[in-house]
Amino acid sequence: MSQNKKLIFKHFFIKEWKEKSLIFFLAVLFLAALTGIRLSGQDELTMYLSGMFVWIFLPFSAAMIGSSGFYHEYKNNAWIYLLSRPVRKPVVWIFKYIPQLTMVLVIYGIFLFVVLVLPGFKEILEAFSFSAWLFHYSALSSSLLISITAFSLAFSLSILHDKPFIIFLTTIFTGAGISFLVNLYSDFLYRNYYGMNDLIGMSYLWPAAFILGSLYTFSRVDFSQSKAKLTRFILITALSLIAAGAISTGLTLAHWHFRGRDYMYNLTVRRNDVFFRTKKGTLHYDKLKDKTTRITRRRGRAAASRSGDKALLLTYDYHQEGESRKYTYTLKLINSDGSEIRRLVSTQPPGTPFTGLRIRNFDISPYGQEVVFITENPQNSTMKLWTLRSDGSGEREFLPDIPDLDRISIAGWTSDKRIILLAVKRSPGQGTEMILLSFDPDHRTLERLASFIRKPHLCSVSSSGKFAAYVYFDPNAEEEVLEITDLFSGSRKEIHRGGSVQDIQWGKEKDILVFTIDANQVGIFSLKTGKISAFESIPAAVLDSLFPSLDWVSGDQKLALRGQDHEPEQILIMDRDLEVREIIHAPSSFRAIYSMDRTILIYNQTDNQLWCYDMDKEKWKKIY
Amino acid sequence: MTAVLKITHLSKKYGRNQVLDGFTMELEKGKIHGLIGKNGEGKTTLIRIIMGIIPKEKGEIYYKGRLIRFGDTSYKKEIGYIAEDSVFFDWMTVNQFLAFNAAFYPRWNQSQADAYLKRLSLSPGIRIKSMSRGMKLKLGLIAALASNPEILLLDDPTSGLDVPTRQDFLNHMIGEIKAKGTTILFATHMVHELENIIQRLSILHNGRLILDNDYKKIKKAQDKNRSIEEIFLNHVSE
Repeated sequence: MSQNKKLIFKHFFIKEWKEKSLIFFLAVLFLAALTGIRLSGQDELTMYLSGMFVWIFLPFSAAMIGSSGFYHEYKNNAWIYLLSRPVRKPVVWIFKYIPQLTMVLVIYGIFLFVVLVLPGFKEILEAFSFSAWLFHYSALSSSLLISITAFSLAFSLSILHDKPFIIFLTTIFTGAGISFLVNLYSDFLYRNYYGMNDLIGMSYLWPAAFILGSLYTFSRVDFSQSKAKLTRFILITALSLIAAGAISTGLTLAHWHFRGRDYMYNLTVRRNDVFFRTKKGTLHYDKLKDKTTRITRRRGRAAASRSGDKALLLTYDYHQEGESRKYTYTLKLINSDGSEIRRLVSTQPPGTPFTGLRIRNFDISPYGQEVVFITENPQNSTMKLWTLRSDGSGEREFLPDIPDLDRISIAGWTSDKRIILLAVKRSPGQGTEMILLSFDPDHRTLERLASFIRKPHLCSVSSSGKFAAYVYFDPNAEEEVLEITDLFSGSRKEIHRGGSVQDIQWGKEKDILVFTIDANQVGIFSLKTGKISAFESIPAAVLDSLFPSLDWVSGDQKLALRGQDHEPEQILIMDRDLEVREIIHAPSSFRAIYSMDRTILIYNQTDNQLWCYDMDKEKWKKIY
Repeated sequence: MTAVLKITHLSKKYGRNQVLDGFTMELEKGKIHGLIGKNGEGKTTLIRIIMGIIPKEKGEIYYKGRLIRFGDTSYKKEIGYIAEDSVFFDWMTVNQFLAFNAAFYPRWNQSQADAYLKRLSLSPGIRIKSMSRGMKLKLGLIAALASNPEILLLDDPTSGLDVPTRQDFLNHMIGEIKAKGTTILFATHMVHELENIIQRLSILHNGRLILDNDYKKIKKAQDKNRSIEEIFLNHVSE
């Protein structure tokens, strides 16, 4: 910028700040009151006023400043004076826009300063943060974005009318209307392109369309002709909005095509192997070879033996028949490199016991000798349990005699080759009930282990195959209970009562269980002592109920936990006494954490990335 | 004749109202040009187009031989302009306004501005909102002259002025500006005001120039005793 322009900008800056000083001082007054209330320790009132500030006062103040963007030019009829000066009209527009925007930013900056300086204020504001489609939106950043948008929209419109109140109302209705339409369009795209995120860049592009319309109108149209001004503004803004929509759609679809659609599914982690599915097929990462290979182009998921050397691969495909999809399933025993050992089951060839059935669940025993799978007959919804040896021999079926059975899933294997099942019963009027069962394939018997199971994804069998841990709901106390059952003696041990159990993980080798309660409480239960050996609140931990947020590492001597809920995220390495011993900085944000003993895996669900960290080499590697 | 500003075939309409229709005119360096016409004949529109405030539809404008396009700004640094109703940001003081205005003009002469303030008895600390129309005209004049313009465009500057201020403006100030070699275009519907000050007269009627000549020659060609008002009426009623 030339010296002359800098001088002009300086004078515009002073002019705009002086003209809008009243709104600025009102905002500062509000902030001073808020600070006073915070200092007096009135948490509830602080929370109420903070919410009001971030969601109402700041965006509305920004809209008010923007609405009076050209008010003084109208009021003083100073258009002629301003437009006849030797400076380009877009420069006049921008030199008015920037100082007024700085006013919005300064108000926000003061608020941010107060929030950061006063203890506990930031935490209070966190209550106003929200999540949508697995993304977290902070109240502070969302409020800033909304305020800048409101300001830009109001400022752009302010060239059209001399009454700020009219502009203010138009801003509110236009902003709400456009946001509604953008959401509607976003929903439409989401329905048609599964897995697509928000419209990329649209939050910035649509206010930019108004800025473009305003800049063009201000620069090129006869300002004294209200009708011409309005018509041209609407035309240019509408065209810009269409262009913004097209750009955003293009970016979003490109992202969806090249990355966004390429989601990872069915992640299975074993000691040295990781199996997962993407649109490219089913992939396998071999830790020992440090190599990822595609084991099939088909959709599939794998269940691997404990060592991971043998895996059971279920592939499936479908074709449309009228309005319904016809699925075909194939179950194969494969080596961990994907080479096929043998095909065990296929539902496609006619005349087999499996023809036309759907394979709902499957598993391979810890040492890879037995296979179990569950089928459903689509005609009558009958569920059957099938067992066979991994060499393909000894195929047997079992029809569970469970009234109102809705579905069955496999929770694990005992060391004497019994299968632990989770059955869901659904009866009209009585709702849903989940029960834990033990199935003896030799004697074809089912034994009930526990009732009122909650959170079925947490139900799991220890690596020794001697214990099962699960969460059930105590109807009398009306609270969740974490419990362990001895799968041989049938004795039950209550581990924790109350709160919300978020996650449980059995040791890889030992009968030791780590569990998490609510937001950041972690406990360790040892079967050897029959006691909780440690139970601590870990404020730095970020625990999740949907994804695993901790796992055992280093021969079950240490724990790896997800820590810190913003980038750069961290992995906390803790001893069994729950003391943080090491912090590892993650290369990207992540939602889930898994362990392959001395290798830690993190899954970035937002960007579909899988990273592994070698604890010995202290190196990160992107697997996918 | 050296034309410092040349306008050719200029047209502008508002909706269906054709305000300027092939308007052509030249401003001769160092002379005072009177542009007269009835209210709404397009004098203000013409000056706003010259100043790049509003776009034209057709025609060209040349400043010192260079074609001016809508959006150009450099030529404006050499043109002073006093609008029909000189209004500025009313919360500013005289000094604040002059400082704001000075930022636009590299050739701004602050000592000249100070001298004009004294000459026109304007207090630097007075707020614009408390100033009379005459005082605002003076302020506009100072703002225009302190930038050392080549051309001064005056758009009905005296309408609404009290008599002493108007007389001072017409009898003294205009002469002083001309004495510096500044070219002046004085557009007004109060035609009698131009009687003793202009060197060239142009009459705008129905969007076109119907008379554009040296004022002395016009007087010579017609009855010497005819006033400028009579000349004007004679032409617009033909």
